[in-house]
Amino acid sequence: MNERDLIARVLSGDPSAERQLYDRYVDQVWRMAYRFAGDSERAAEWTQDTFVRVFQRLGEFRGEARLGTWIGSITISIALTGLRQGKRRAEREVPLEDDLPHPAPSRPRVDGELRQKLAQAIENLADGYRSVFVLHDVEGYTHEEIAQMLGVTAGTSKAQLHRARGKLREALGAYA
Amino acid sequence: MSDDPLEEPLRSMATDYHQAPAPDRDAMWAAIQARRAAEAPTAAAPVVPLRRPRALPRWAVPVGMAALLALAFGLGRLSRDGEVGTKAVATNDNPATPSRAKRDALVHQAAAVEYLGTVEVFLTDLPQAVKEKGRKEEVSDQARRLLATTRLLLDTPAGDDRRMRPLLEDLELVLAEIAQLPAEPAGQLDLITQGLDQRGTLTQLRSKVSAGPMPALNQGEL
Repeated sequence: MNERDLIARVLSGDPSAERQLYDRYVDQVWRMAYRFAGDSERAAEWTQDTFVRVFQRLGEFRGEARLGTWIGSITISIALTGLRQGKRRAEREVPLEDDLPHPAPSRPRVDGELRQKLAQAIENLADGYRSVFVLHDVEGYTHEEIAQMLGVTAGTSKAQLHRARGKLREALGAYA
Repeated sequence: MSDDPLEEPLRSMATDYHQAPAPDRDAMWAAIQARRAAEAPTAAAPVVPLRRPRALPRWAVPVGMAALLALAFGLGRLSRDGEVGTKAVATNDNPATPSRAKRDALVHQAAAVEYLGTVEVFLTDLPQAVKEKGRKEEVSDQARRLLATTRLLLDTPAGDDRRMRPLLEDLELVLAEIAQLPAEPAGQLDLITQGLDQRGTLTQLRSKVSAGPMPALNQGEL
């Protein structure tokens, strides 16, 4: 069944079509949610939020982008909101005197350590940089798709990616 | 600009970043169905403008919003800075003295309500603005600016407000759609306005704007 027929059947209230749509896109949504969440609990919550909203708003989908891109934009919006909330919670929990000296980086000898540093550096990126980096370099979306998902221009997406990579290189300077 | 790929082995390691395990599809589907069933449909209230939409000068919205947000964030920061160093647990012996957190929240709420007023005018004016020749780009630009403001607000205490947050999230998506209006926007615009009607977004906006900021303060506090 093609995308257009599937959407029409979902909009007509066919429950089996709803499940088909879910099955078709759940892996994409789950993978993207997990990339941002880093844990199964939040990824599952965001995946559910995404599909609840997809079914609420499918009637507004016009077909200018692929359905997967449109669903991706909803996933990103939910994930970024979730990350902001998590960040605010974490900030409230951090003690005021959190000025313990950070150990100087030593050159890692094993991939595992570098992998960990890279993950930390990605997490420390600002939301915009992180989104574009994860979507482009990790998930493999094009700048045009990312632009549609984030509501920015393709040029902005390219610029953000360039800066994100620069930040990562800077953060991993001693390791890369 | 972005033809500067990460060097190996960083590039291949990046693809392993937060690699997802297999999802529990059936459990998530059951949860989705349960939530959809629990969310009773709400009838869309008739849309009655509270005020006549007016054409604002092009510079007014960004300048106004920037000033308001700067004020809100500035006041918030001042309040927070004032608390640094006083690690002692805040005790509010005098019930007439509001906590700084409450005042911060009030400031952010006021900024949010002002912002909602701007969005309300923008959305009310939207069908007319898109019809007018040569204004589509202006509309998309304005949507992009408002989208940036929405995301900023979601990151403030106003975004923590359980009544405000769903509205801000809804606006985030709507504004992203408007920012990406195609060259022939009529069809897409219809869908956007239908969606706004169905979800009662404008009604919610108007009720928030007319109610003003609703601080959780005790009587006499400010």
